[in-house]
Amino acid sequence: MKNLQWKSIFIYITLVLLTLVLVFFSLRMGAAPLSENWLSEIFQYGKALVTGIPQSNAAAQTTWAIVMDIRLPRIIAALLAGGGLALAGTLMQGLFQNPLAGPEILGISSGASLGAVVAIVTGLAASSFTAVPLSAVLGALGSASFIYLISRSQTGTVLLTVVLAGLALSGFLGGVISTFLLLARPYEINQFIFWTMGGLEGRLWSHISYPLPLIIIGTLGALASTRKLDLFALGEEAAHSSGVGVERSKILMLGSATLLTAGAIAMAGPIGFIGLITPHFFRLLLGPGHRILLPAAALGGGLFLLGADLLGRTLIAPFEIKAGVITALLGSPYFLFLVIRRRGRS
Amino acid sequence: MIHHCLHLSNLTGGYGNNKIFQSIDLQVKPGEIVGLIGPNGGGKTTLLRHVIGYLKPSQGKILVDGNILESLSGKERGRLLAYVPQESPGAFEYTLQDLVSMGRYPYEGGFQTKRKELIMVQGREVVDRALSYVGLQDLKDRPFSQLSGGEKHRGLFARALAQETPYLILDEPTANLDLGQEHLLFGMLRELAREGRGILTALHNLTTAAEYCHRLVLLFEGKIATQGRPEEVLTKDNLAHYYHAEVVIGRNENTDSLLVLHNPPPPPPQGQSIHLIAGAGSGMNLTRHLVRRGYRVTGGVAHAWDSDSVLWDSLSLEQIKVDPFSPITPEAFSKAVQLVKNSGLTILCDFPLGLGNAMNLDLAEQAENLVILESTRTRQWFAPGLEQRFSALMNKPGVRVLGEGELVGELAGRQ
Repeated sequence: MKNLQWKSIFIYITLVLLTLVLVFFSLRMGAAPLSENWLSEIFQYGKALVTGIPQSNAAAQTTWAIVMDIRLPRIIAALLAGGGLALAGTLMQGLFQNPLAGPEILGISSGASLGAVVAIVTGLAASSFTAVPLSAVLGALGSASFIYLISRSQTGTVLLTVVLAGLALSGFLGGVISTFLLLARPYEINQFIFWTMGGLEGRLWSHISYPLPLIIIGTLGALASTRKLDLFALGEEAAHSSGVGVERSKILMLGSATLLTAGAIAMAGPIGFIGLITPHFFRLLLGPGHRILLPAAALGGGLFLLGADLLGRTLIAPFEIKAGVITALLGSPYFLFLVIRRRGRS
Repeated sequence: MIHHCLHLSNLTGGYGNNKIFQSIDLQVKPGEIVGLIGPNGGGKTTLLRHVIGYLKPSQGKILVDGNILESLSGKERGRLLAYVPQESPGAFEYTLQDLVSMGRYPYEGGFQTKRKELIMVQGREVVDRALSYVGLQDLKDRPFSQLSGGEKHRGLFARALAQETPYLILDEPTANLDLGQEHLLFGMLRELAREGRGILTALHNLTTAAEYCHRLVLLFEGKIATQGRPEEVLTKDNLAHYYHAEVVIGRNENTDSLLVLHNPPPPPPQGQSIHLIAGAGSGMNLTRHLVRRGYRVTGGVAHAWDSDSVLWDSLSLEQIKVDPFSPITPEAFSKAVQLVKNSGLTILCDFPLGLGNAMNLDLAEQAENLVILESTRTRQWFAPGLEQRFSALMNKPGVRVLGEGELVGELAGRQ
């Protein structure tokens, strides 16, 4: 007990420090070089903005624009999207009592993809920066609500139906997406495929502002679920008998996971494997108790995506490898490792 | 004044429109262990799921110490009713202590305050006490998934105890327990009942139910068929009617509680009739073999209380018997001759012959188709002339001498 407390404090501090270090490097590094004294330029410019004294230092203004208007929103988006995906994954794994569950179960990804393809094919994407993510969010929320409604029965939400309906809906939406792509023009297909890779390039404050409420509400919902998630490990009946409102908790968890995933997809596109792997990693380190696990997974997921993004845009700068590609390249082998280890154990 | 009891009043429920049980009226009072018995599919588990409020009844209500169950909040409910499920959860690597601590959920609050801190400390003590009560304090840091079936179940039981509720609901608590663990668990339930808790448990093992429950409720096809003290409910007739099982009801002489033992009825005889002339237990194995294979077996003449005769009686076979140590009467002899005449085969088993039963040799002589069982030891004669008559019978044409195994094999082959 005491041991775990110290361990978790240590891991939290490490996560925060690592995040700060990565944030620093993410601000500092990139395709556009910054001058040696970029930090003081930013500080000066910021102070001038606050006090209202007019600025004529063009170099400082450029540095400010690069760091505060281009790099910072991208960093915030990475932290929020990565953290949101990890939280959603932890919620789903706890709720479904299956360490391989993820937000994909709700058909969220395919719903979001359909939203994206519709926005692209109808030309909405060309008229507004935020059309694709907004449409993706609507698709994600739509498919998740559909599955939730199907899975309602007189005795409550049947989790097995959720899984099966999610599979069926994903298959169906995949077909719809392919139909759209068959009719689409080549550059639209390119745009869609590029979107499905998931990435953070070109994220501005406007990309963050409207998914932010989704992430905030979802995070609050996740934090309110921590102890209930523990009790779900007992099985629904026993959790109920210990005083958990099982049906309300399910709605809270499924709803929070949906909002978090939709918000994350809106910011970063469909990024794979963060939601699956981060909870695993921290469950190994900190044990299954969700009061400790959930915040750690949120911090860790953000850190993971931020790191992937930093790698992606510095490895072969000025070209970028999309963050979703990096997480998939790192995440899939780790997932395979987990599967093999599981096989060895059982 | 609060009426202290768990009261199911006119309860009807099931899954959706599928009614599993109807109009159940049942009370569990503090200090009482009530056993819910009944054949599989009678609705026991479904009823318990309603009792803990997991499923909502379509009619009637459940009162816990005067409160309507459905109107209670989750945590209020968790402080009144605790439940031990039949199956163990398996997922994730919670330690046993973590798992038992989950029983404290109804007492946990959202934010840390001084009072809450005190409750938490008390909670840890409750968890420790529950663990040591079930004898698992040494395993508290072990992952739950690595415990044995019995330890897991005791862990779940400790979790229910940590809820500190006046009522405990258990679903087949002994399903995964060995004999020793089963009695350990029920011994604890007895203690908890004595401390004033009300306990409602579904049970398969009727002997355990009879030994530990104060009252039994027999659920059959969704209705209470009968309820009362174990000796009122566990009768031969009730069990034959509701379980379709023939039973022997005995008494455990140490505890004076009922013993319910299965007594399978033999298959109805359909094969040919075979008459056994036996005594001193010489025909017992053969009788069992033949009955099992469906032969119509008759026996005699035997002396009452002879082990062969007792077996034939217990299997309700037709037999001719005379009083112990008395000679075979002419009346008995003529009845036995009838049985021999009616049988396709007569078997003379290997038993000592003397004055009292010498007429059985005469009986054997009447048989048209006689098999004499080969002796496994030296034959004994307790009257003059019997040995000679026996040898003559052995050499009579048509009479065969076979070993028991040989004979059984032949009869089995013929079927």
